[in-house]
Amino acid sequence: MDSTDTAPRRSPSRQARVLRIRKAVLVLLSIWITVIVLLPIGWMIMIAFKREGQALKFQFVPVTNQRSIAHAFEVGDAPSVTLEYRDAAAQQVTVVGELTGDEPVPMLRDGALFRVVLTGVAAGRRTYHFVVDNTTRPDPRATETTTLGESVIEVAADRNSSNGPLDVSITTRLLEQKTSLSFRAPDATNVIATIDGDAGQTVSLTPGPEGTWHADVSGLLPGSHNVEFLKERTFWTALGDIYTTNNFSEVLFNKDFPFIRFFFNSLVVATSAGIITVILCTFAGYAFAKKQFPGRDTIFYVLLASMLVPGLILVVPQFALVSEFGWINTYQGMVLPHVANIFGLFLMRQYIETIPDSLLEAARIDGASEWQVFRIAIVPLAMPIIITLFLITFVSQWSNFLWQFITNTPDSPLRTLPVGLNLFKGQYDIKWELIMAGACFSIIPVAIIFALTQRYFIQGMTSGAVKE
Amino acid sequence: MRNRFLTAVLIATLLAAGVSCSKRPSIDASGVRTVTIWETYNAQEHEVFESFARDYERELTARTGEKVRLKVERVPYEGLLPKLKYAAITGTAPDVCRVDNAWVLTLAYGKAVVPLDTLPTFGTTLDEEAAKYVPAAIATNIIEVPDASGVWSRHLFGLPDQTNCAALFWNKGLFAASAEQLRREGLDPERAPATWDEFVRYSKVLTIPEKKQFGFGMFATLWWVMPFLNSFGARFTRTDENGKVACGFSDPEAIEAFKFIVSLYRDHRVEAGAWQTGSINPEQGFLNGKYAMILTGPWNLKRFEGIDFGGVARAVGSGRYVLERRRVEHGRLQVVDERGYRARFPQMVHVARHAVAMGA
Repeated sequence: MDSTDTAPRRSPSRQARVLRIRKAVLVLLSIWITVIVLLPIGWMIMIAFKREGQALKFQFVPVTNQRSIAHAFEVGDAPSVTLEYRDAAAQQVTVVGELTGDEPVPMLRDGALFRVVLTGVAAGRRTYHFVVDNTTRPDPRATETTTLGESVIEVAADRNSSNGPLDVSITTRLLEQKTSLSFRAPDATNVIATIDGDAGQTVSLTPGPEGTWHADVSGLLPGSHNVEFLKERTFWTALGDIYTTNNFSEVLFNKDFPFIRFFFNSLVVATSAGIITVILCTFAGYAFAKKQFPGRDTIFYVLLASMLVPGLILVVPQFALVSEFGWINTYQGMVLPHVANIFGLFLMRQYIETIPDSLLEAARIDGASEWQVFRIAIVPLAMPIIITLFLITFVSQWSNFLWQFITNTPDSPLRTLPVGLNLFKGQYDIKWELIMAGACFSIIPVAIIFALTQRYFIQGMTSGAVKE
Repeated sequence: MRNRFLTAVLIATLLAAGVSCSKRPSIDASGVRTVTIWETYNAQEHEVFESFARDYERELTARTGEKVRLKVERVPYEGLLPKLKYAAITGTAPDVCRVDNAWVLTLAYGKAVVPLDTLPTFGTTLDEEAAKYVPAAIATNIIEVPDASGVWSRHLFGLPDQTNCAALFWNKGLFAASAEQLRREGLDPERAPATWDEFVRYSKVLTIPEKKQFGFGMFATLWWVMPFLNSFGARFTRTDENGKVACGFSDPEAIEAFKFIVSLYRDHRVEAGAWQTGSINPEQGFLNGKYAMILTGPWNLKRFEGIDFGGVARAVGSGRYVLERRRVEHGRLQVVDERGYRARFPQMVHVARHAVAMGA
């Protein structure tokens, strides 16, 4: 019996199902690969929109609810003095002076807000100063500062005192057996206070003037308590904490960073390098592929061997020549050393070799001159590889940093975009968000050129790959 | 000789400024001498630096009647060393350049920088000048080089413009989040470790694999290994019995330091492998609450704004296993130590000015 007769045959519906699954797997795989490939671009765009200081943070989704630290307070205690100091850069703030009996008292940190509540301070005029990360500073909110740099506060005997309107205020009114909570949150849509943790009570605050939220709490027993504030914001407000569009305008209109000029210079350098390279390599490639002259192959292989020399080694002699010619701070200094491109020559020669000689002979029989053969037969047929070479040269020169950096002095008006973008990169401080905003603009010409020429580019890259 | 490069480097522990002779005319028809300065500060710091320059010009004219124009040019830090070398070749180098101290040796041996102490207007001796600076900061600028007759002698190739140091930064928030566990281990969650033994104990508690949180993350380049080497009493070089300078990394102290570093990753498993390609680097890990402790410097204070990293400890000295706890004295200094720099600026330009005069 034929073995094929006994093999189970797939029904047409099952075959169709397998095909559908295969297609689905292929589609998913393509999507996955696309995502992986586009991830760096997506990351670049997201960073370009991030606020200063946010670029390296892993936070991409805004947090709408923000919880404060637990603020301790006493019910039934004597009037207190509350001092607040806001400084995002500070790490440690203490208060010292008459107010503290000349003992340094550390302030509690909640984000950028430093806060301290002092009790048992005798009423009257008291001086103090802050010590911010070992640097003595007067209180910027104080209404009075002495000539010695000491801030002054009037401590009241019968009520709480503070160095100005407070971001967090907790006042106990013993007679009314009430505690007033006040929390400044202009960007909040709702504020909830949790007293004494989850086991305690929760109070919703009501909005008041100048972005301050208030609530009166009763029933708190005398003694120590703490309160946490939960600030709820809209998605868009929270989004604004992380993202901004200002980076783009800062890149475009920065006085230290003439973006338009850099962009124009890059365009001139990359385009001219691309065009000249293509012209030279096409001529040379044609000669090496279709012309016979003594030592043709030897010369070609010698040239090819020069590709083995690392490019960086050539920088010194090239730079010496450019300098000797007086081409520092010139377009020709940036462009010409790179136009004799051996890789381009190799690419063109290999491609032109595939053009049948019979076509060229036919053209010659029809009376075409050498120039006409080149123009009418070679160039149109080699167009895919010409476009490919142009694109490769354009992209490499568009992003060339070192050469354009060393052939321009720092005050040169011909500095290009890669050199300019590196100004945002210091030894210690890198403005990633501005670099990425600039990079977003810099990919535009490359994307446009690729979009316009992709048909030729793909043809050029795949020519010879398929045997027909 | 116009193409001869008379460059001196004014250097800091990490940063330096150099002096050279360029082909550009240094004195114009109206008698204004131009001194070109290359620096690698960011835009904000550049403005501060510019203000120093303008103050100096005014002050000098008021004091001596001499007119000097300080042409301050911002240069990308990346690629600066090759650019300086190429500029030196072509005579387009600046008169003063701020560079990393590690580059001074290369530039001095390449004769791209002029020895400051050989200038006729130096006005003091090498050692007297050096005594004005932090020893470690000035030491890397005093380099022995041969003269034309092959005799080797010490010369000063740069002046420090600022000093900084590596420090142990610890994330107070992460310490607080593990406060109970730290207390159970007999550790105080409100302070940084004071010894390497403590450091390991803290790190073990703060390493929480399920949160992808590590006690420590570090770069593994030589510079970042220095705090370990220093605190283990290792020496970078030593002079052997024949008077030859030899690398000290094979000494027992250095080996012990290296073994300790490796053990953090391999044995104790408290180091995140932050030095590996593709991993989260220490600064980013610290910024995102992934690494509880890292070694870094005061230049990151601004970047870490918003993180409650509290006190800063620093690994110093030759005492084994000892970390000296102290706060970074620069306060809110990021990169430009404004007060210190302003004080040193005139000396820096003074030397540069004379170098130009000599070259011209």
